[in-house]
Amino acid sequence: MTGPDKPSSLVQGTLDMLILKTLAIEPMHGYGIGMRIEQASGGVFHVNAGSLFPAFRRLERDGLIKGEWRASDNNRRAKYYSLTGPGRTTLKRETRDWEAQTAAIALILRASQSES
Amino acid sequence: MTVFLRRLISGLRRLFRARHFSRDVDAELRAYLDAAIEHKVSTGMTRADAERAARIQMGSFQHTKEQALGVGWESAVLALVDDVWHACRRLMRGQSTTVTTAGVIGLSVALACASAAILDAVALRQLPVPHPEQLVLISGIDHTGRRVALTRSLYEHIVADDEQISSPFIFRSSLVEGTIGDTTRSVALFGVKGDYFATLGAVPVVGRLLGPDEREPNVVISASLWRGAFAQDPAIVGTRLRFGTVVLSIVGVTSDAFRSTDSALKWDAIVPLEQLGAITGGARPDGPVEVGARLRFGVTAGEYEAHLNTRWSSMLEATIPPGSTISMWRQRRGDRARVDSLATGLSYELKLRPSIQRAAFLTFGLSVLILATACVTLALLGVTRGATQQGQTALMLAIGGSRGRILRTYVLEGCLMALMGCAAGLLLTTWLIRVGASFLPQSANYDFALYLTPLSGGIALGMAVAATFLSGVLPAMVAFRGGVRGALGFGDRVIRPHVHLRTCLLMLQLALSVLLVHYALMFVADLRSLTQVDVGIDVDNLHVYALTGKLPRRPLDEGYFVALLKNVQTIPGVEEAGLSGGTTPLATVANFTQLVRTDAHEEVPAITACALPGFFQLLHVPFVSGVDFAWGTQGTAVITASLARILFPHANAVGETIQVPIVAEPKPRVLRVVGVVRDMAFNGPRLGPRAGVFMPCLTQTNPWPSTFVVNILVRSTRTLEELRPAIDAEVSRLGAQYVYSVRDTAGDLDASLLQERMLAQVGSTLGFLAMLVTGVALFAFCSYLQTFRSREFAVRAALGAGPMRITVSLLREVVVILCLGSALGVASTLGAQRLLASAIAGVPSLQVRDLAVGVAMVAAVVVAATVLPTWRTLRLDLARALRVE
Repeated sequence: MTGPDKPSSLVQGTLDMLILKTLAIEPMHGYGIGMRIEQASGGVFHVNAGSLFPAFRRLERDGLIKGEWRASDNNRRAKYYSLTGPGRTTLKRETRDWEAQTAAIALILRASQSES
Repeated sequence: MTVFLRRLISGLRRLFRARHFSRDVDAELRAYLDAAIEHKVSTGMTRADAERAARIQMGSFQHTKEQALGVGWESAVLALVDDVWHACRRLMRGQSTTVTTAGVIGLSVALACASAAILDAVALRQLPVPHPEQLVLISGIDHTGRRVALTRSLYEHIVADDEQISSPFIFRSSLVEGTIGDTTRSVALFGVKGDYFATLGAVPVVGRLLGPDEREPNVVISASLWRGAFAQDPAIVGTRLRFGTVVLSIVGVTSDAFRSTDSALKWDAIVPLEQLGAITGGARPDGPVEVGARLRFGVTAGEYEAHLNTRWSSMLEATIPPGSTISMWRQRRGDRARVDSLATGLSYELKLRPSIQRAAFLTFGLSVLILATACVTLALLGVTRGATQQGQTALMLAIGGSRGRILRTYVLEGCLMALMGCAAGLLLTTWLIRVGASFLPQSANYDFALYLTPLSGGIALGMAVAATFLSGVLPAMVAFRGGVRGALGFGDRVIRPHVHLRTCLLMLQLALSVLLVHYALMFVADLRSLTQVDVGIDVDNLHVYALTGKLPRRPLDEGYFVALLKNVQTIPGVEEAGLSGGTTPLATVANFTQLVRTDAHEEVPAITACALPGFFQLLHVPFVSGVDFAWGTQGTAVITASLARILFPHANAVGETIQVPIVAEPKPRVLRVVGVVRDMAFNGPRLGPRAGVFMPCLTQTNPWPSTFVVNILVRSTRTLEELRPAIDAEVSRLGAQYVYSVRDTAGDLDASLLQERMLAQVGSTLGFLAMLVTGVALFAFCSYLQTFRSREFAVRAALGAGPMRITVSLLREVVVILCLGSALGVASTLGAQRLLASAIAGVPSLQVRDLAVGVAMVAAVVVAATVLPTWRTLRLDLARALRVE
């Protein structure tokens, strides 16, 4: 069983949406995005570099985010990603879809519990 | 912009800036690692601990980078390019294996594709007509199994019995001299009757075609003649062509697509059958003609043949010509009917020359066997390559390389070698096709279009796939068998092939080798027999000086010929001399024959030539019966033995009379046979011994115009040129003619057999290559297997066994396998021989000598390949043999 103190694997196909959501707040570099997802999920989701970087490439290729090299807080060079217009639209659509799906799943689960 | 376009553009950008992207990801990953370290340090870790933790958290840097770069279609392209480059480098490192593998593929593909192209042209290419499978050729079969043509009267009966056929037609071909415009040239003519054009799907491009019952002096010409002689004149209709005294009017031109009865047949003009008779002097209603028809829907050739044979006797009885008997008629028109398909290739011509079809099938069969041997060789090379790369592959697996990626590299290597081999093979094919075309009938009537067919393409593709598997997948499978433990020295160092599998493979290879060697020997012998032609004429030191007339033209009488011969015989160095008119022995290759008939209306196509007394004695052609011409007597003839047998099967031909058509004369000349000579290939070995009639020159044309060719034939040990001044002087002395050309008959014979000799040489080369491929494959396989046993031999030697004892014990094992393999090979050869004999007429019988040579060669190779590596191992340092396998 997965507890809040033990990192869990993401629901398949949701990483891109989480990255977009993270970048909706402000531009961030790769490590920062990973940390932000972990913190925002209360430590439930831990995203490693092997998943994160292919996701960046996918989103960048589809024009949903764009990367830019600049100096980080500790004065080192880092590639900062920010959300693009199409990325913002995609995030809205995916968030809406996700909410609809989770609501539907919750309804089904609740109905099943009451029957049992 | 759509996602698709965005991905495409982004991918293309990355393809062209692959190195920049790689550096970018590299820098980003390093920045990620730095950020992680800094973050951990900020939480209180020491820098060293932070670095260690960050690296563990991140995992393999290279692996993560590959994951990041592995996104999108472009990454697959880049990976492919990388793999191809890697495979190329590996192939360059193993140049000998690469060249051998590509060479084996190329050679086998070239042989198979070229022979498939020839087979297609000769026997498989379909006539370009709707439903060609319904077209049949109807003929008779005599008691010797020889195909004989029918007659017009038999044709009429076949037309009347049309339950199973429709659109029957008659055709007959002939090569005649014709005048087109101002030039006189040989014209390939077809005489036709019935639904010839409609059945063969002809369409006119100009004018019209001949009607089914047309008899008028009209002619339809081919598109090639229209182009070549009339510059595609659209107003061609109405133009006249002259053939001797017969003048024909052009009524139309057929399209290029119309191929007549054979797909490669070249023809110039088609005339009504009656007109062809008028041109060649053979307009008899019972003259031999070829009969074709279209089978009705659902009827097979076999069914129609059976149907025709139920009525054959009554048809023959109803058509017996006056003066003939039913037995004679059966002998000439066949004991039974035969129906052959006219659908493909040289359907008609191959009935006359089955040896060509046999040679084409044998060549193709040999190529298929070479393909099979090449596959086994490739498998052996692949297994060897895989075994030598087991260690390297295991290390690649140990450092995290995926099996899929490694397999891809092997497959790419195999694919590259297959592509190289196939490309080289297809290039070689174009050359081989040119060589192969030389052994197809080269008469003026044939125009073979040899090209790579879908069958050739299929063979090349199949071989490429097989080669990719055998040179790519198979080595990879062998290489994977080593495993990581083996590479690191924890397990068996090399996985050996299973003993039983090894024995089975060796036996299979032995059997295949015996079969191939025997087949190659048989093939070469069969082709060589083509060059061993007895023309029936002694051509040694026989020179020909051709004379023609000075202007003005003078009539020459017998006195001129007597004086000429006497003068030539007095020239020093001249051993024998003779004279002939017109054509000379072995010089004319055109199949020009005329119908010679007897008073009893027997009729046979035969060559005609004119000569003077002493001609046969000079050629060293003996008389079977009768005597030579005599000076001062005309109206006589000397015929060949085969013609005598056909025309007068139950009587001595000497004293009988025959009727011989003379070109441009309305009536045939009646000649009395005074002698019968042995058969000879007067028109060259390519056409072989033909029925022939020889008459005195002045019987043909009296007086002989000085502008007509007279040939002086001289037998002398002096050269052609050495005798030339004396011959010139003697001819000039008589004042009527001069020497216009000189020829050496032995040279003519060599020239006419050049194609057969070339074919025999190519065939021998093929056979030699087949044996070479077999030998190399067998040697490689045996050596490879013995190399795996070197450690075992070293152990046995270390335990006290001498090299001789080990070798003898090894030989004992090999002899058992050799016996089993050879037995399998002999059995396969016998089976294959029976199969071949049932499929192809005239296949040479099984030669025990060839079989023994095949087995001996294979045994020698196996023993050498077994003993030599073993002997070498035992003579080397035993410690080294034990250490290294």
